[in-house]
Amino acid sequence: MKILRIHLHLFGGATDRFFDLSAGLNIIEGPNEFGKSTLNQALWHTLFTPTNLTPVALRKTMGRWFPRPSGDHASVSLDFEAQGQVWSLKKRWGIAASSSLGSSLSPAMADPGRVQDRLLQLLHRNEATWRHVLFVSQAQLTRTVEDLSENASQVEDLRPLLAGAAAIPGDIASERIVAAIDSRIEDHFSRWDQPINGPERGRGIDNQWANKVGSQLAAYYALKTTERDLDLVVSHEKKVDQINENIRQQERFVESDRQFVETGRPLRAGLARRDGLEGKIKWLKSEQDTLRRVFMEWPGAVHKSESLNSQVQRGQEIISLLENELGNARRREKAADHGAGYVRVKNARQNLDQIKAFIATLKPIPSTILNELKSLSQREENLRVQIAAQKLSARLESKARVMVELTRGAGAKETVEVFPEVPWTGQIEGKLSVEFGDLKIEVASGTGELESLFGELEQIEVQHKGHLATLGVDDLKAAEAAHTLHKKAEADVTLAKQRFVDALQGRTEEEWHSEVVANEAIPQTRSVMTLEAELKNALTTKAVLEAEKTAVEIKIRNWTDQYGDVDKLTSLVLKAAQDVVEAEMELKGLPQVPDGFSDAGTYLSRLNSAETHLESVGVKLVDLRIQQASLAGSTPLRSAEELREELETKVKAFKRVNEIGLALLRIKVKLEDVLALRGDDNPMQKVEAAVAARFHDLTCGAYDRIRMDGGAPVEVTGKVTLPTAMLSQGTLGSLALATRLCLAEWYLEGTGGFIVLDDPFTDMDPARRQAAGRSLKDFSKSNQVIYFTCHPAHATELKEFS
Amino acid sequence: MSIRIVHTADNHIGVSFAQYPDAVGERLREERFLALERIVILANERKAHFLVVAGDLFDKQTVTKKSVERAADLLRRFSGEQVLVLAGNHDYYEGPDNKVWKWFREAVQGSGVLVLLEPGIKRFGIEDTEVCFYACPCPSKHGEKHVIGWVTETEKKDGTIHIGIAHGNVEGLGLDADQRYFNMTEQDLRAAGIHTWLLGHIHVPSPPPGTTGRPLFFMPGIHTPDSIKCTHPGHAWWMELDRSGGCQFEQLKTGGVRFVRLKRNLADSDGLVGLKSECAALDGPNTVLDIQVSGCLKVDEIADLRQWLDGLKARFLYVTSDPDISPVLDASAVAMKYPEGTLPHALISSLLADQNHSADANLAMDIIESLKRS
Repeated sequence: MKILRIHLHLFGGATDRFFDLSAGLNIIEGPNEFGKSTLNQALWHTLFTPTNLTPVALRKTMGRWFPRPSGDHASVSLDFEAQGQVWSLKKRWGIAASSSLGSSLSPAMADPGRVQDRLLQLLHRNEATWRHVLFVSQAQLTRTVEDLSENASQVEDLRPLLAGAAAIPGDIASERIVAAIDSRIEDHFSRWDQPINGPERGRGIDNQWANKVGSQLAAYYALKTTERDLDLVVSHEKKVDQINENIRQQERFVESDRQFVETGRPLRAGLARRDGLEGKIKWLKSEQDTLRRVFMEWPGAVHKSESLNSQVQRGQEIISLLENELGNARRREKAADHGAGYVRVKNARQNLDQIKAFIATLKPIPSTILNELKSLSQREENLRVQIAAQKLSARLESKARVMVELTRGAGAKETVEVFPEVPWTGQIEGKLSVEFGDLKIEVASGTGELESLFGELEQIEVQHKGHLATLGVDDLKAAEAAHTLHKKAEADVTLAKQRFVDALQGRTEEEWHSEVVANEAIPQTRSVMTLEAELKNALTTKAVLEAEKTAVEIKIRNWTDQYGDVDKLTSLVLKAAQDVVEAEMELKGLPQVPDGFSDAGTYLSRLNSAETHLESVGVKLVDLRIQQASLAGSTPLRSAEELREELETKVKAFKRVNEIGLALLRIKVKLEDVLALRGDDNPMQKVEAAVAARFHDLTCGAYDRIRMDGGAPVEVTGKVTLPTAMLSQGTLGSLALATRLCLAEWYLEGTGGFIVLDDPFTDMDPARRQAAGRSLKDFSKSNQVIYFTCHPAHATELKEFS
Repeated sequence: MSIRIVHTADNHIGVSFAQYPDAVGERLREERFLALERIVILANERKAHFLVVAGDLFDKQTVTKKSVERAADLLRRFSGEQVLVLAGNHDYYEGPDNKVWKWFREAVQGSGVLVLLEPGIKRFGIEDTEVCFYACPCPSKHGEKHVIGWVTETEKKDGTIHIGIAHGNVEGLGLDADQRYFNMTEQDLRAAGIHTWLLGHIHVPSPPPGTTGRPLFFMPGIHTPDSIKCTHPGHAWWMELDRSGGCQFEQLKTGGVRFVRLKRNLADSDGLVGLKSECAALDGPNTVLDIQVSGCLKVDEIADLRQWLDGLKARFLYVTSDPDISPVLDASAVAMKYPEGTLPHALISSLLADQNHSADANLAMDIIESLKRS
C-alpha cells in the first residue's frame, strides 16, 4: 500500500487540509503544533478505526479528534494505491458516521465492517504489526527519550526501558513468558501438593503454612477455615440444644415431684402425727381384739378342758374293752390254726396207712435178677445182630403149586406156599432149612461160628425165660415196671411218714386232740381285723383329745400367766377400748391422707423420696446451668446461617482458583509445545542478522553484531561487546531505528507498504544522522516512508539524500 | 364481629451483616428496626386488634440489650389490643435464665406486649368475640419434632376463634432435609382443629398470591430482606377472621431495602445495555446489588462495563461484582493484538484452538500483557 493523498476534512484542529504523498521518502516538516501528530493520528484512524463505534468507544477513541469546543464528528479521506489499483477511502466518525471504500475497478462499499475487513486485506499485515512496527509515533519516541533522560544516572536499571526501546514490538522473549508462567504457577500452587491435591505435608488449617502461601492454598485455607468455623458454630448450637434439652428433661423429670413436695410439705407434721397415731390405733385395736378374744375364749376354754378330760377317760375305757376282745379274738384265731393242724396230722396219718397198705400188695423184684435179665437181653440182642449180619437171599420156584416148610435162622419152622410163575423170595439170617416132602435142604452162611451163635442164643433165651418165670412177669419191661412201682411205693411211704412227723410238730396226736377240745371253750368275738380297726380309731381319738386338752390347758396357763384371771382381763379390755376411742378422736383433728395413698406413712415416704429426688436433680441442674452459662459465654459471633452463606462464596472462590490453576498448567504445556514447534524456523531469528547489518550502517561501522533475546537486542558487538544498557542515547536511537526498519522490511516485503516515522534522529550526532539518512534513503527505494520532523536541519539533510 | 391481625415473623433483629462495610452494615441493621416500625404503623393505621410476631424477632441469643429494648419500645407503640411475641428457634426460650427474654419482658412490662415463651392458651375478648391463641414457642434452636401436638389434644370451645402461633418448618414449603427445625406437616397443622395457624421460620411468604378462602396457615416471610437469597421485598400479613370461619387477608409490603443479584451472561453490547437498563430501574440507595456477569466482550466494551460498574457504587447502597468477562478473543482479535510470528501470537492462537479450554487463552493473554506492562 502506498498513500497518495490524505485529506483532513475535519479532524482535531485541522479543517480541509490535505497532503499529497509520493512513493519513497516523504518529509513532512514543521514546528511543534504544526499538526504532525494530528496527521499521523488521522492516517492511523482512517486505516484502523471503524466508524460504527459504541458511544463510549467513540468518545474514548475519537472524541479528542472532534473539533473543539462543540464538534460532533471527524472526517478524513484517503487515496492510496494497492494491488495495482487506486483506492479511495472516506470515513466519518460521530454524527452521521459513515465509511466508504472503492477503487477504479471495485465498486464502493459502505458497510463499516466490510470496509474494515477489506482494508485489512489491502494492508496485508494485522493491526498490531502496523501499530508496533510501522507506525512509530512521536509520542512513543518522545516517551522513550524522557524515560532515558530521567534514568540516565542509573544505567543498570535502564535495561527494561532500553529493551523496550529496542525490542521487536509485540514480541516477548520465550524465556520471559516461560518464567512468567512458571512464576504464576509457583505463586498459584506454592505450598500446594498437586498429586495429592492438598496442602504440602498435609498442613491443614490447624497447622497452616505462614509463608509462600499460593493462591490455591490460600483459597483452600479460606474455605476450610470457614468450614471449621461453621462446624464449630453448628457444634456449639448442638451443644446448646443438648444442654437445654437436658435441663428441660431434668425439669420435666422432677416436675411431678416438685408439685408433690410443694403440696406435701405443709402436711408433713400433721401427717407424721397421723402416721404415728394410725400405727398406734392399729396396735391398740389389735391389742383390743386380742384381749376381747381371750376374754371371750377363756371361760369356754376351761369348760372345754374339763370336757376333754372326761372324753379322754371315756376313750381309755373303750380302748380297754377293745383290747380284751381283741385278745380273745386272737386266741380264737390261734385255736382255729390248731384245729387245722390237727386235721393235717390226721390226714398225714391216714395217708401213711393207705400207702403202707398198697405196698403190701406189691411183689418185690430183686435187683440182682432184674440186672441179670437186662444183661441177658443185651447179650441176646448182640447175638441177633451178629446173626443178622450173615443174611441169605433165598428164591424158591416151582412149576406147580407146592407147600414147603422152611426154617429161617434160629427161627421156628414155617410153611410157605409156592405158586407156578410166582417164585418165593426172602431174606434169611444165617441159615435156611427147606423141607418138601422128603427133601430137606439146609443152607448155612459162613463157617461153623454161626452155629455157636445160635447155640448161645438158645441158652440165653432159656435163662431169660427162667428168670421171667421166677419173677412172675412176661418180659423184661414188665419186670422193670414192677420194680419201679415197688420202689416208688417205698418212697411214698417214706414221704408220708415224714409228713406225718412234720404235722405232729413234736407232739403226739393225742396231745393235738386234747388241745382241740380245750379250745372249744374260748368265747365268741368279732374279727381281729374289725377289732384292730376300732382300737386304732379309739387310740387316735384319744390322742387327738389329749392334744386338744393339752393345748387348751396351755392356753389357759398362758392366759393365767399373762392376765392373771378373767376379772383382771376384763379390766384390760375396757382400758383398751378407751385408748382406741381417744386415739381416734385425735386422728380426726389431723390432715387427711391425700387421695391415692393408703396411709400417711406411704404418703410421707413418697414425700421424702420426692424431696431426695428433687435435691439430687437440683445438683444436676446446677451443673447443667453452669455448662449452659459457659456455652452462652462462648457463643460465636456469627450464626450458622451467616457462615453457610460465606461458605458458599468460599467454595465458589476455591473452585474458580482451582480452575485457574489447571488453566495455568495447560498453558505451560501448550507453551512448551509451541516452543518446540518454533525451533529454527522462528522468523524472528532472521531479523537478528538484518538488524545487525543495518545497525552496522547506522553506527558507521562501530558495531557489526548484535545479540537479541527474543525480540529485544540485549547486546551489541563492535570493537567491544556491550550490553544495550551501556549504550549511549544516540546509539540506542540508532539501534531502535535499525530494528524498526528491519522489521518494516520484513513485514512489508513484497507488499509495497509504508512506514511512519516521527523524528527518529533527534538524539543522533550528525555523522550518525547522515548514516541514518542513508539507511532511510535506501529503505525508501522499496517502501514508502512518511517522515515527520520538527527539525529543519534534519529535513534538509534528508532531502539532500533523497 | 371479626378480629383483625397483623402477622409478622423472622425479623431477625441483631443480625450482624458483618460481611458488609460498617456503614452498609449499620444501614442494614437499622433497617430491621425501621421495617418493624413500619409494621407497627401499618397495624395501627388498620386498627388491628393483634400484632403477632411468630418467632425470631431476634436473630440470636447474643443480641444486645440495647437492640432488645429498642425492639420492645417499637412494639409498645402498637395501639391495638395486644402484641403477641413468640419465641422462635433463633430466639428460643430455654428457661428463666434466658437474658434476651428477660430484658424484653422487663422492657415491655406494663404494656400491651405479651411474650409467649411457654406453651399455653391466651384468651381475649374482642367485644362479643372470644379469641384463643395457642402459643407453641421453640425451646431450642433445633428440634427434631414439632411442638404443636398439645393443641390437637386441647378441647376447643365452639363460637370462639382459635388461632395457633408456632415457629418451624412446614414440610413441602421450606427445606429441612434433616428435619431439625420443628418440622410440621400440613396434616399436623390440620389435626390441631383450629381456624388457622400464624407461623414463622420460612423466609418466603405463604400462602402464595391468588389464594382464597381460609388458609390452613400463614407464613409472612421475612419482614425486610436480609440477604441476596431473599427475592421478595419483605412482607407481613394483614387478616380479618370471624367466628364463622370467614377470612380476608392481604399481604403488606414492609421492607425498605432490597438485595438484588443480577446474574447475566453477556455476549455483546446489547446485553450490557439491557443490564444497565435493569439496574437503572432499581432503587439504588436502598438496594444491595450483586452483579455476576460472565461472557466475552470486546475490549472497549469491557472497559465500558468496568467503568459502569465503578459508577454504580455511588448510586447503590452496596454493590458487589465479580465480573468473569473475557475479551472477545478469536483469531482476528489475536492478529490485531500480536504481530504474526511472535511467541504471544503463536501461544494464544494455539490455546484458542483447544475448544475445550479456549478461555485459557484469555489467562495467557493477561500474563503476556502483564509482562508487557512490567
